[in-house]
Amino acid sequence: MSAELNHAGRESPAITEEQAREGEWIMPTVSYINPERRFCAFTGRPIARRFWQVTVGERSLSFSDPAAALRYATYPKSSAKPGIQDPLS
Amino acid sequence: MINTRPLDPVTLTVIDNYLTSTCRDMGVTMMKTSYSPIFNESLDFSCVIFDTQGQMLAQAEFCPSQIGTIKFTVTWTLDELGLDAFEPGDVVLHNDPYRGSGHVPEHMMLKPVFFQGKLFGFVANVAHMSEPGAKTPGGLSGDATEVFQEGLLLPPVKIKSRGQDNDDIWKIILANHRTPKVTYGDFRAMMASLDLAEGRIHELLEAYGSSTITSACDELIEIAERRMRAEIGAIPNGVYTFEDVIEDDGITDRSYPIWLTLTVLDEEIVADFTGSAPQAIGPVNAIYAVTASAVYNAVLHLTDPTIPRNEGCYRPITVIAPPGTIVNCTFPAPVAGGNTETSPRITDMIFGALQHAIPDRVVAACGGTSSPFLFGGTDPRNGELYAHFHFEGVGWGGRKGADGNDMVVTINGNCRNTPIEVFETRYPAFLIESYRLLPDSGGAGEYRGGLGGERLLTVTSEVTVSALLNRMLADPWGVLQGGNGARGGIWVKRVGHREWATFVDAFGTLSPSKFSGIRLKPGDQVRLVMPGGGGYGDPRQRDRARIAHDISEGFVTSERAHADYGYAE
Repeated sequence: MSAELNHAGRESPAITEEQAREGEWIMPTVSYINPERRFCAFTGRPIARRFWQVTVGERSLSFSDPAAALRYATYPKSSAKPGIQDPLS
Repeated sequence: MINTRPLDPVTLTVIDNYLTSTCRDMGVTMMKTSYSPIFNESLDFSCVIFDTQGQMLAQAEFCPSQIGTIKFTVTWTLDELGLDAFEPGDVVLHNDPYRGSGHVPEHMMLKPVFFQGKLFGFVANVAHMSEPGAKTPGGLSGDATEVFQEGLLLPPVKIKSRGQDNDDIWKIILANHRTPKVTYGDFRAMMASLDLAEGRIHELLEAYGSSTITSACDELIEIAERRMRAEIGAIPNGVYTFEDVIEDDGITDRSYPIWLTLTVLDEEIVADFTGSAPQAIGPVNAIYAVTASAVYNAVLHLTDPTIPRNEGCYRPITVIAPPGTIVNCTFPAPVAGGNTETSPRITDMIFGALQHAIPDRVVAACGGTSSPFLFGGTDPRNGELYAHFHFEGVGWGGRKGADGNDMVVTINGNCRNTPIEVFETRYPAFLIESYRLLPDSGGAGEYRGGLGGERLLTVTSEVTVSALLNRMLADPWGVLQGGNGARGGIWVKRVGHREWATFVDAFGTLSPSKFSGIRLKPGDQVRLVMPGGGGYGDPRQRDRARIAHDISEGFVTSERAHADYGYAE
């Protein structure tokens, strides 16, 4: 299952530190016919190939590495507000 | 046998300097053997050395944006291909922004370095090709709506296998570039620089042994990380925010706010761009690598410049950029301007966020645009196609103790402009009527923003032009009560007309600063204005002698000296 893209802030499911550690490395094959584009759920960094998958219930999250998953588990939700005022308006 | 003895500081320094010098010499090789002015005059390239784990071992002082992005370009290449794919004599070529490149014109070449049959690491360079096969000459199409319009996309492919050219790859590339001879020459220059670096590393490994060099590199990375953490630790802990805007995208007239939440906690920095605008339709989007590179650039500016520039100095810096936003766009959004326009904006935002925390180290906003002016056509002297990516310097922001630089290429570039003599010789389309600094364009401050400039060109043979500028609608901001710098822009005067007009008014483009494929005729004129930098500190605190000097040199007029600084002669 592909991980959910998260561009609206920390709306992906919360995970515990234990869950972050209990993920697994996935090494998909690279396809140019049916390319998969995957992002780290913590940083948003595009993932080339190998990723750390953490499964929470029926949902999976992809991370660049276990350290990113651990930080995702402990990082506070950003205080930034989506839809900020446009300074030019 | 693994070397377990710690190396003495002298040996470590010698090795570090050797690796850095190798990177510098790679650049000199490209400068001296390339065909295009963007290589040999502007030095729009960077050179690096990596180990087999994709850790940067050394870099030279070329282009900050490329040095940051190449971390992602190289690691993507190694991940996608796998280490087993490399053989001695291979050269991999890659420019796909959705595989870690900064934008399509920037092509990376990577060569594995084997020593005594074993893979030691990689040497790599990245360089801006002024003709990448885009929809318009010069490569940066101000109204592109997809990355496919920005040039020929190359995933990591072997342009050389075991020392032999892969002719089919060459044919595909050369058939899709308007200036195949220039591409050929520039690619050969890149290959030559990789060969030089490979030879230098072989000499180093023969002198010290691979075990010692590997240990030294590991130690240098640890040193860099330790020193960078100490530098970050000296910044007061806190959560700092800042916002700025990309003024339009060439397709719509909406602006795109960027929101930054910068957290400094002990010895780590997190730059979180959550809340930034959704990605743009036009080519002002930054991919993740560009955003991260811009953050790295800022942190490196704010910290000790003697810290070895290797993997270690990046480790304490985390960048969060939600996919689908202007700071981490998703395929197939156009991205050409992200690397030239959005990147310097992000770097400035870091300074803006920290202006009260570390006022002695920050800089006011720079002009924040490369002023990309692209053009191409048929050379009437020989019938050959030509294409060029022309960029300009801008005023830099004032900082504690010094006024901003005047007309220096923007903070993520560190490139040189093309001398007028070379410009007019190589490109038959224009006569440069004037090129000057603009008085009063630097933001007022205790330390004044640097001056922007103006270039006036007259078309001498039919040419197709494009532009992808910023700071035509939004001022470069000052810090700590400093004033804003002047905006820039681009205007045209058609032959037979008396007045300057925007390209919107003259040609019906959607944006005054972002457009592509406009044909100009002999006698038409173009006026490029480069923005000034923001001011630092209260203008009323500016040393009166400096103001007098500014007036005598023509940097500030008497009227503005009075209005902005309260100065009376």
